[in-house]
Amino acid sequence: MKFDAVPKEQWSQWEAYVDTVLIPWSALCGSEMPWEMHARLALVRDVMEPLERAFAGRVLTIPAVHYGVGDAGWQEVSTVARMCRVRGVAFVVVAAPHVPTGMCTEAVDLIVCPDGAYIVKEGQWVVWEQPMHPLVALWNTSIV
Amino acid sequence: MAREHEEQPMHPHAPRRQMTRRQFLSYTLGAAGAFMAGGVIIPMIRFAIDPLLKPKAVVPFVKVAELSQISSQPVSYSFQTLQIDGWIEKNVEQTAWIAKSSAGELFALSPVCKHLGCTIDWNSNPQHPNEFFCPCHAARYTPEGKNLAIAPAPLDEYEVKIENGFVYLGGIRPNTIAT
Repeated sequence: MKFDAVPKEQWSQWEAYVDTVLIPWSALCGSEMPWEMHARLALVRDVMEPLERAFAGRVLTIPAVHYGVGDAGWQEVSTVARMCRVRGVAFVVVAAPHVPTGMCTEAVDLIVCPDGAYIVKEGQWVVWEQPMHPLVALWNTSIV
Repeated sequence: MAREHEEQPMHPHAPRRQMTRRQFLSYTLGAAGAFMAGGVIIPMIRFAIDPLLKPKAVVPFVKVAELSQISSQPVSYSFQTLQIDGWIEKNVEQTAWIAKSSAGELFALSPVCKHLGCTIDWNSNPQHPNEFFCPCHAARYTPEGKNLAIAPAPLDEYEVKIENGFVYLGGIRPNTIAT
């Protein structure tokens, strides 16, 4: 579900079930042409939508992180992910146009890109190749 | 003299039943005001309740599968429907789990979990074979969509029509086959 679809009055009932946050990250720096920005956002949208549709009852999509020069954008995503953890979120997923070049952060469990899903393994982003959806595999490591 | 006096009306100041000028003006102004107010308010009310006055949109049936392919094992079929939202028209991909009940009746279930709206899958959890299973919070359903755990209601179903050996699906309605 998207953040704007959550009524304040209902959140206390849903909070226990919605333990995963989806952060859209468009990885823009501002120097892109308008059509390049559009294409980048479309890439992120295309990886987000199937996730949102399939796991609408457990994944909360929050407002996107858009701009950052160099690794600054990814650092911003990492900071947001860490703050989500502070709030009590159990899993953080990032929808991105590509795998970040910056360092891995333990605050992010999974990155979903147009070319596949990536998890952190030994400090590196490793492509997920198992048939089970990586998010479901992550959830299976915990009991709701 | 006394006779002339007797010919006078008994009640010379009795109230007359004619409308006074003041009453006439009040009524006329009231009627004109009501007419003008009605001219403004009635279209506003008509605009506000317009959706209720319109006939309910009929969801067109879409050809989804061959009848001969349907068995008692639920199979997922994807199809597209045209969604009109204001001025925006777009094709929306939908999915249905189609199967035949033990009585041989064909049905098509919505894949949307009735707990919190995730997408259910068939036979995806080894601990609960031959059931629909929701990966989000482990809601479970029978092949006919009856809720077994977590979910508060059975899976919704599509309206089904069979024509010339093909299965057509229409709008979504509450489950009628789960017992």
